[in-house]
Amino acid sequence: MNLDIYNDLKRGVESSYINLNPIQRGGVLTPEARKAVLEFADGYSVCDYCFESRVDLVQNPPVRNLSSDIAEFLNMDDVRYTAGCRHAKWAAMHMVTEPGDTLVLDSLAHYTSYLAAEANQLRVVEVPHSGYPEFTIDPENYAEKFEEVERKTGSLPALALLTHVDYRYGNVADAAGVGKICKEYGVPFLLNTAYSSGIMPIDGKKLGVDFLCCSGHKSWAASAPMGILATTFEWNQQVFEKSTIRGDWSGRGFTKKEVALFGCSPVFGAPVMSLMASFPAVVERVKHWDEEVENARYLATQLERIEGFYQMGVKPTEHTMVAFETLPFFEVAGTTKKRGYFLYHELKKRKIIGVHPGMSKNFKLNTYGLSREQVEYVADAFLDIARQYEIPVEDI
Amino acid sequence: MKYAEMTKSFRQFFELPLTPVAVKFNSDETPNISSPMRYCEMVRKSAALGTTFTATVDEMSCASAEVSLGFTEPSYGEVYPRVKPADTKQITVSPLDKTEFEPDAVVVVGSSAKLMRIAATLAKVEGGMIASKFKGEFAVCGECTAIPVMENKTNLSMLCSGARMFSDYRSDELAFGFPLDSFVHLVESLKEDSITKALCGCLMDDLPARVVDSILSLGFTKGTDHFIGRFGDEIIRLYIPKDERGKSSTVTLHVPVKFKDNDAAEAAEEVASTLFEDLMMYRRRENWIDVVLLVELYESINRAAAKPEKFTAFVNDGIEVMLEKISKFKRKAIK
Repeated sequence: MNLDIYNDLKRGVESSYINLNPIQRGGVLTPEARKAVLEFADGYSVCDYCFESRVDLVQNPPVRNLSSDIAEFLNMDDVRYTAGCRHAKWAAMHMVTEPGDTLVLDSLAHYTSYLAAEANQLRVVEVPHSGYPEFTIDPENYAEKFEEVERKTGSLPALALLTHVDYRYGNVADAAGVGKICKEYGVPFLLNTAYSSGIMPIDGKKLGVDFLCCSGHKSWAASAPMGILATTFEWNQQVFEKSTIRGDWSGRGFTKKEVALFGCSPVFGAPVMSLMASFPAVVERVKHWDEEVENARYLATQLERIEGFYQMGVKPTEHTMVAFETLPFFEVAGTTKKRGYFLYHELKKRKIIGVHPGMSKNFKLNTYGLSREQVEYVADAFLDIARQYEIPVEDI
Repeated sequence: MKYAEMTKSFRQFFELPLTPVAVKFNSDETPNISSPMRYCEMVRKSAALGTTFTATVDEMSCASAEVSLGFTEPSYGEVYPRVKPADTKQITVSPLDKTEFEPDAVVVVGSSAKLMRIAATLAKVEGGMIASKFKGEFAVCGECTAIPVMENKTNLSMLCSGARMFSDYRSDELAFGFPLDSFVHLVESLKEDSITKALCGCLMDDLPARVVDSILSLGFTKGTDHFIGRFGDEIIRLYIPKDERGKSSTVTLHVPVKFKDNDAAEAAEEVASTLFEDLMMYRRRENWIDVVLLVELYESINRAAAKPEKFTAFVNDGIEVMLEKISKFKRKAIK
């Protein structure tokens, strides 16, 4: 073992760089959260005054208040913290389905949705997407799939899952449309808001959601691993079911602990405190979602001035994560020593990071939280790289 | 301990409960067996318990192994497989991770499912089929040791009744013998993406390799969820749509044509409506008109790609039609 490699750990990413990484923009900590992380970095630091044996009930620091405030913010009834959005999805599935049940989900769902289903021994039935170039999900197809499942199995699916914003193209799916269909059929509705809640306004009741899963570290300016599972009074007792197990010899019981949350969610430190510290900023920032989308649209328009650049997904984009196909960059990659990494290096030279190293044929980027000046700088950088490699750029 | 790292990555990759075993003929080790043992028992004990054994002919309790490992010449007739000439003085069997010497062979013991994975990976690394010469006799000593040493080939063995009855081999276990070089090559290859690539959730994960190869041979390159390539003056995208049952029997070719602004694109829709018919479609997306040509294959894409000439002819025809129509569209629509 060489223990020296664990000394003096550095991320190697300068804070002065512009980071476009699709999964990192919404998780950039606020200054308040960064301070809170230092204060509450120790393992069980939230538990100094724990009298209720559960992190969500701790009153000092005000985690209990935060829980009800987040429920109000999302317009849901009850909230728990989880070790990431994936844990929230797993927990909801675990508590409302039985092994062998069917889950209907969109075909652009994140892998963790599939794996949560797999871990709960569910069959998955996918709602097709529209294909190239938009890759959209039509809510009506949920109804078709519900009926197909009923025809084949004799009962409706146990749960429907929609990825509110898909991670591949940044399309904002019609959650209200799916919620309406779920209500009509009586199928519980789980909405994965990993890329939406915390950065754009979400009204769970309006969308007809039964289980709203959020990612603190992806979209709520929190440290990982931080997730949120929000639900309604109709479901909270079932989803947050208390432990009934008894030691057969000792007779021990743990009746305050909630089964699907491992009794007390493992977020008692930097995760929940960074979420708390960022929360006021999060409440404020979702009001400015339209400006954020405008920035992304501006960037898409600018990048499409480069010959062969084409924004995939819904146009104009409705989200700050945008996917482009960029064949001319791939052609350039074939002529440079750095191959596909040339783009990564060219951007890094210009203090821009976050485009996946080695990607040049197509890539995704996320402008969330960047100022207009920064977005303009990014656009100019891409145009500059294109010109440098003699790729035609349209004049304005 | 240069083999320790190798053993670790091999066992981790193939999730092997037992350690690969190194075999060395005429090593410098001191014999350390108190009472005679079978060679195959030494191998399994070494794999399971991490014990090192060094045996001379006096410590060998199995006559078959004496012959096949080259301790003695066969008394009458020829025996195959065996180490010859029979000049073996002693043999050392040691868990590979604790081995200091350079082995002559490596024997891997594992369940049939685990060894199947090793075989599949080895086939990718070396190309071709995996050799498996066995007859249910002389297994660990002959098939897994003598063959790798004498023929410099890997060999997969079904084991023999002696190994299963007397040496603790489980009923679902098999053994795989490697010459050292093959084993080292296999372990080094485990780092290669091409060997270890897993499905990533891409929308083209389920396309058979031959379909992908056929499309690449046309001059496309593979994007994340579709193909893209430059043909003439245009960049053409190729996508493989699925019907509601998840079957594909068509490909679509796309060329998005850009206009100055939304109004210009809207005006161009009129031209598109007269120009694009039958299997051609168009759709306005902001200031772009995405022109789409449906190429009907009349059978599943897997079967179509199995006839490369026909498949490439279909797609090439589509590309030609696309280029001609797009050129006409641009002439008429972009003033």
